[in-house]
Amino acid sequence: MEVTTLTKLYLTTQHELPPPMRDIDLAIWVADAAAPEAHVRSWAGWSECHVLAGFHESWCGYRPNLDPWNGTALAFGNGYIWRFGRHYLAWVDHATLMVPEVPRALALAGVVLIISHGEEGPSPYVHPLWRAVQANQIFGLRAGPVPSWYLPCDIDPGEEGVSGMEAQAGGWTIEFDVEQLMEARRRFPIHQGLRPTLYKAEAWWSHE
Amino acid sequence: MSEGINGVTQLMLRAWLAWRLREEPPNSSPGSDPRAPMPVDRVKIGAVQWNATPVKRAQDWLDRVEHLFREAQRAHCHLLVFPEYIALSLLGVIMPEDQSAQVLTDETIRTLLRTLGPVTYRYWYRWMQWMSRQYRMVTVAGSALTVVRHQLVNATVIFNAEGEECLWQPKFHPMAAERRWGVSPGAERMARPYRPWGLTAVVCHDATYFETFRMAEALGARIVAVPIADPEVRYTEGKARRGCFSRVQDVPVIGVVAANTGQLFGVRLTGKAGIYVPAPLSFDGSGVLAESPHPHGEGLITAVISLSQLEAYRRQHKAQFPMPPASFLDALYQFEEPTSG
Repeated sequence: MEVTTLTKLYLTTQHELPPPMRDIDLAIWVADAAAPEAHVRSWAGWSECHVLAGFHESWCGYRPNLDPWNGTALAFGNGYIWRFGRHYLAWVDHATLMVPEVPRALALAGVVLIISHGEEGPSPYVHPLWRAVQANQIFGLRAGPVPSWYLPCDIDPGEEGVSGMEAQAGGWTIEFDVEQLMEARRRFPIHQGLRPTLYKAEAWWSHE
Repeated sequence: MSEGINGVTQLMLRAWLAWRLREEPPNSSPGSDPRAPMPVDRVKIGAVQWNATPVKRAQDWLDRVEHLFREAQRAHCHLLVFPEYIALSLLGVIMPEDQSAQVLTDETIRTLLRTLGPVTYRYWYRWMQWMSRQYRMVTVAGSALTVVRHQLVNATVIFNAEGEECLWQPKFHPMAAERRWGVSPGAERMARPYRPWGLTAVVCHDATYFETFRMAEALGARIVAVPIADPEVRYTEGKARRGCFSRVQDVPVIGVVAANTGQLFGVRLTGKAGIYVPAPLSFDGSGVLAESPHPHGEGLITAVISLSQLEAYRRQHKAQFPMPPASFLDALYQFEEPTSG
């Protein structure tokens, strides 16, 4: 599937996947029970786009290229990663996000959007996904009952790094442009400043 | 001063600045109360918000620094933290306040900082050390520029209550503008935290990296002081929260920010002094114990932190969110460090 840099994402938390919508490139369906693949396939329109569905803490996708990230040295915690056009997207559970090394590893490996769940809390800034987004200049989708879209402060006109999503037909939509991340990384280059030699010398991890 | 500066001019500027910063004793002396015992659990912390406007006389700078020490003493603080580049305001004694960094070439700024930075460093070091001894207060002196092994570095210093240097730490992650102006990343290993509290200091942009806090924590740090000078025209909570505040949520320690604000030779600095804790340790879940009300101006904020409370939370956090295995971290940091300046 040809994916342009501008992507329209649709998020729904309805029990049933609503009728197909036009011009959606990626649909996230936070179902409360495992949905049979046939159910998704029966909606011919949805088969035109990536659909990621989930229930509780297990997620399953209806695209063949959705892979759990076990089997590599960088596998840690619970999540999935899948290719989306020229980039990667990931779903990570809340506890895994609390370990900042994980989003760092995902971002360095080319993940441009991390999806997680949970309530926002007293402010967006205490949510680990907001922190992961700012620390790595990626996008973040908090797929709660009232979702939040996180983006680097450097490309947010309000500079707060959080944006609402547009309510639409049983869910919410947001358009994002991966090319904007390049602009954020140019304005505030975080990854270029990493000091791996120093980190390895001061290794806070043990080989025992 | 947009043309290059030749060697003779550099020598003259350095000598002129040194003359203007010749030793002058402060106008007043502190009270002579006997030193209170150093607490081991509940520590009262003061964090400074500083107005960066260049000073015309070194004595003005010294008076303002001493005023903040006096305020901290009155508030019964055990620890006082000053901001990044606090010493650069001293350049005002020889440079006009309206001299704008925007009209100078990077080469000129690089030469000026390398020529004059170490002179301000010596003055800053001497008087911060003197004040910490006189006021019997553990002091994170902020930061200043100095040359170490031919490299210009932005370093912070901690003095104990006897005025002895107990930590010296260069900035590990200079910002892009600093690199253009000749500031090199610190090549040293991370300094051991000051006991008994596990106090360390890292400079500004270092707090953008959780790795800095991981290294400090592994060495025993429990209080991380972060002198900052954020070159932001507009203060927004989002941009401010992605530094020290975020790091103490990632790595459960106490974070203390001292902020340099205002106009410094045409560079607009904004920021708030703040004392931050992991969100569950604050009564309202915000993670903020104290914070300046405005992102500009000068003053002191204070808060009391409990190290035993922090330790209990850290045990719980570690059990709930364990560190990835060594193989993960070896793989994560296997890439080469960029070598360009």
